[in-house]
Amino acid sequence: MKPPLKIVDMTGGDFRRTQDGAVAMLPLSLAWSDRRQGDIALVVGGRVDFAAVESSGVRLVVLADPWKTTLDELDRLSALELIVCPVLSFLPKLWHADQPSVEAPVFCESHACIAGDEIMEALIEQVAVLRAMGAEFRGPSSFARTTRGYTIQSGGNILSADLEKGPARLNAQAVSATMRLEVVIPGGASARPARIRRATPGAIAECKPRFEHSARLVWRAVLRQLEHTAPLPYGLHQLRDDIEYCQSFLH
Amino acid sequence: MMGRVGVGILGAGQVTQAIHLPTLATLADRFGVRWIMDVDPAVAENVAGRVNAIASIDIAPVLEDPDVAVIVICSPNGLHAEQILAACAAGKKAILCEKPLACNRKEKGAIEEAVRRHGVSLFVGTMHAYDPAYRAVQSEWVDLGENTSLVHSSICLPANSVFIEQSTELFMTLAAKREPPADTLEFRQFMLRSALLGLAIHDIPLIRDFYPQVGTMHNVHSVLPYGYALNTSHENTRAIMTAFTPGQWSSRWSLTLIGNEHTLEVAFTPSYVLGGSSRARLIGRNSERVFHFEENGYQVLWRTIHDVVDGGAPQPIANGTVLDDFSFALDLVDASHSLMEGRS
Repeated sequence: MKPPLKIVDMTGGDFRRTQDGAVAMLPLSLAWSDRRQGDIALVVGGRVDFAAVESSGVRLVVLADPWKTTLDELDRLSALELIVCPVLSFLPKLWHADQPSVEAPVFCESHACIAGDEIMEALIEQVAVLRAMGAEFRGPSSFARTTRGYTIQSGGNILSADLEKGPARLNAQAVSATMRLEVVIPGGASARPARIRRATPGAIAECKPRFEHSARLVWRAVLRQLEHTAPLPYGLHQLRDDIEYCQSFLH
Repeated sequence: MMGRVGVGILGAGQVTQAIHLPTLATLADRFGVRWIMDVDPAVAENVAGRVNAIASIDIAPVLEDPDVAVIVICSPNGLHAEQILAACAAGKKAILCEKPLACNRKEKGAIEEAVRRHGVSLFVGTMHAYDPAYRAVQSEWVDLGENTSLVHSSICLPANSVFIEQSTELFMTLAAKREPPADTLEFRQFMLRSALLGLAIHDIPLIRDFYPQVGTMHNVHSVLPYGYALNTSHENTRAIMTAFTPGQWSSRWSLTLIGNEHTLEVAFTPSYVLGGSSRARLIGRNSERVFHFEENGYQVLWRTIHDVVDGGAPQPIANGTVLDDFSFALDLVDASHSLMEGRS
């Protein structure tokens, strides 16, 4: 039996504690390292210790709280030529669905409820999910903020959120003339499955539910990447695009 | 004892044939259709024959009939105001006008004056406003003291013909097909206006229950051939409205409210079939209640008209509210057009 791949926690344990242990739900082929070297580094956006990453010999970086990552950090991670896996709460629950995206949608919409009060956290999650569903962000943009949430619109894409409101949930819909894709995704701290429903001419198909925490789905994706069985569905380039896009609304 | 109220219908197209006549057939103890008027004599004869009514190609005999208490206006939009004014002048007790009520503010002003002067009860065929599940859940929402932060109306409909085929055998003269005009700003504005007054108008009375003013329009996107995606806000409440038709999938017509403690989700049935009320869900952190009734909004609307005309009951949606709903729709059109012009 192969020894498990070792994860070096460079967050000082903070991240594992604040995530209610969800990040610690490792598949058996992964294990936490008690040394500074290993195969995978766990870092937190906004305070990545690059010296520690470089000296650890890791092959892959798991990036927690990716919405806090600065563009400078993204550049430096890219320069290291390591594979980067951002940890998102909602998107991983779509990964098991076959070909979920809609071609040339006429409009897409999403509403999210999150426990935190950071717009960027909800926005990154929404943009990542909508892109996976086929949204193309173009057209005149607007940003409206109220005390409890926001609405962002770009052409036919409308994203709204209510902050500091639980339980965490993300609803989204992408619509074209021949396909309508609807998803309802419970928050990452819950193992409740996403409901993924695809309506096409003459049929409505619903994906089989998969009861698994998002964090565990992320670790599985990391494992598949390192074992060369499947590339990461969402990596550094997508994160950069999404962060740049989201920041364009907020600055 | 309940009286049978006489009805005269102006315009015998698909809404009359697929919606009003099947609905009135479920309320035969309350209503008798006396006249079917249509400018196409073949349509008038055929449709009148189905309900044992008198056919006409002229509105005068319909309005002159003293046994007709309720006038239903299902004619082209451009005739709505003129026919409402004529029905008021003829002393009818109630008018049910299909959406939109009128075409502009001048017509709206004339209607307002006429219904006030003649004491006519005015109803608009915004059937979702009478949907019993929506009414029940809306009342719960108010009782809970919820503070609405977001109102979201989303409409995805296949072609009307899909549902019409399921509800009736339509008799009509086919209109000639026209080439679509070039995709210009004016064309997009025209189509957006048409979609807001033809589609968004269905849910405007419901949106206004929680969001009474258009406020600031932040963005609008015209979805061709028929639809829109727009968002507005007023004080601390946001409104989002999206729509697209015709698509090649099953219909999805929803209204969602986000409050402090609860979420309200209403999924409406297609209006062309007698499919019961919407399914409305009131969702709390640890609870969920579902509301559903046998009757749809049109059935409740018609029973309400009977209660008002025959029983002297007050209108649950007053004339003033009906007129304000229409003003809200026009405000949406004006704000949308201004944004589009500002970009060009």
